[in-house]
Amino acid sequence: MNYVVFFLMGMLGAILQSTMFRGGVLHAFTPDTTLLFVIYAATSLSFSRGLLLSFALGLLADLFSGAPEGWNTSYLTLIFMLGKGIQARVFFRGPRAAVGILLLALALKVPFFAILAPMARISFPIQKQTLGVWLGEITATLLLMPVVLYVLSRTMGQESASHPKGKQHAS
Amino acid sequence: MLGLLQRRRTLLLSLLMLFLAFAMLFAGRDESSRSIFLQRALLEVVGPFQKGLTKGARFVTGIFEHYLNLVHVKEENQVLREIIEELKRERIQLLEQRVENERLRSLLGFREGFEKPLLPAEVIGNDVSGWFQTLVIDRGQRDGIQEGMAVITVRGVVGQIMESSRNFARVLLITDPNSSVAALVQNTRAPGIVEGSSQKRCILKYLLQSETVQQGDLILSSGMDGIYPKGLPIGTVSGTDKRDVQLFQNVQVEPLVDFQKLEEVFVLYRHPSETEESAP
Repeated sequence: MNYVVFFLMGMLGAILQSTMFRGGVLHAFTPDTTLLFVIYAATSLSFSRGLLLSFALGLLADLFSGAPEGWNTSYLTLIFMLGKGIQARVFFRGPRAAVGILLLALALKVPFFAILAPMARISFPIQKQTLGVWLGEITATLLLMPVVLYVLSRTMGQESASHPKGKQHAS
Repeated sequence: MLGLLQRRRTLLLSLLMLFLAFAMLFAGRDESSRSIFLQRALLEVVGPFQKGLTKGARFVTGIFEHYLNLVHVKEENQVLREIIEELKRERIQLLEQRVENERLRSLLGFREGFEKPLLPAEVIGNDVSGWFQTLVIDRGQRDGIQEGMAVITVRGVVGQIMESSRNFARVLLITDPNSSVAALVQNTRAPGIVEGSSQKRCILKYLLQSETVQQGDLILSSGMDGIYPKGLPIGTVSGTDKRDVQLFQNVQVEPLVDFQKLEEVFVLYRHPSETEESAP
């Protein structure tokens, strides 16, 4: 049941993002809420459930943004796997791990899309404005991160990396 | 065998998810194989929430802009203040109605100037990621909206319908790099293609080097793409990139429409047969 709530919260985040960040200064600071959900999944949920939720959230982000299906899905699925991989090899857990994975994910985003675009025959030019959108997104996502992670940890309760399966996969 | 699968479950699941994600992306290159059903279903499910939230946000912004900042203007006694506020509220409502009236009159005049019917629509949402330039409007297939129909405003070209569900539709803006509009320079009638380049700008491509373009020149739709009617303003020239070694010059175009402040747009109706004829 918690996972349905998790997914619905992701959907709510996307709806709020599509309506609240329209126009003016706010548009330049559009956070990536689905990425925050995936970061939470990577640091607190078991591997198989987190992976499925990341895939579903990626697909949701694609459908919301008008991007081709698979665009955000592949990115978020890879970030989840990367997050789990990092935690298995580096002695970082909890908020520090979340911040580290988020920074890495945001830094990899544009290079990943730039590589993906020609393969998917999509125009994704890298220019000054792209950097503006990127920096705005990084700032907004980092600012929103504590709020989203707090709400998710309260909602999801004790379902976390302490989950026996999660521990097994993380190690 | 089963034991091996159990042990490698994590790896297999990871590979499966990645394969699915990339398969969707590469299959999506072919328009006919895109999961239109999912997109339509999501538009239908989410559309009402977006509409409600947008209306709520506008209401709150309206109160903030038009009322709250007037409340603390003067320290009057309580009775007089209440009367003044009441009068101010009424005045704001009347002013808003007047502005709305003027705006609707201009929209009506604009609408009547077209041979083909125009359908007014309200903008209820935009791209969540900020990486793609799209909008969601509160009109869909029930209103006769189809993919490829042009979307315009009084100021100029907005974009075209990229997908539609029963009650809602998504518009690809002309500023999206995946969008293109057949265009011409108003003064010289030189033809070119306007492509999106970023959040706020477009580029006029395939304009011959011999053509002279000046800052401020108006760029219009040429009607050659079969989507946008001829003569609709797209934007003004804000800069040129002319190099002797190239056959064509690139011209930066500043769109006339402020996409971030769009509230209402018009969808230009086309008969289904026209859509088929104009398709490549």
